[in-house]
Amino acid sequence: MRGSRDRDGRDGKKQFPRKGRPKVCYFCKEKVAYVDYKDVALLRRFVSDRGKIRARRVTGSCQHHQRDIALAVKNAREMGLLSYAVR
Amino acid sequence: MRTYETLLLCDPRRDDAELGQTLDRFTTLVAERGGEVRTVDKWGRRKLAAEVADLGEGYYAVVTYEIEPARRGDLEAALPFVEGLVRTKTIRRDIRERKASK
Repeated sequence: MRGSRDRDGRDGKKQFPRKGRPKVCYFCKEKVAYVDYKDVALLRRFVSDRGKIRARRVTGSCQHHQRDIALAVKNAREMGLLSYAVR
Repeated sequence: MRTYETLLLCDPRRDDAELGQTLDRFTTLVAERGGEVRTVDKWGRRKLAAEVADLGEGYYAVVTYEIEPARRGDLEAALPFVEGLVRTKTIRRDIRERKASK
């Protein structure tokens, strides 16, 4: 619907139309039992260019795996495998 | 006995023989505490994503071993005295394997 982005919703907040199909959690889809902090190539997908952990709404991860991802990223940072957020 | 996995970050300024000594030291520490080393996976030198202890590079190795949980604290306590070891991280491998088999 054109122009619907600018219309105010019922509670006064701007309502955004849901577009496309909902994202599916990567780890649920691939049936990964354990999020390995050593798998840097994989974790990169869940981290922004600045090194910040991407939000669930961005990556589509489920709550359970988002927690595992956050822990894995933090572990990887401690071991120098991933960078801390820059700037 | 429980299976653990430790990622060792070693000082890359040491030469290969010295790095070998560091790894040997770690494996003997495990053995001395009644543990049994399963695998040693040497990643080699890698550029660090962020500086750790003023180092831009690091030598990585992953060691998996079995050890009595009661003796593990003892092993952990000995690690700061291993020469050339910058940082370590240990996780319980058995949890991971249990989850994977579910």
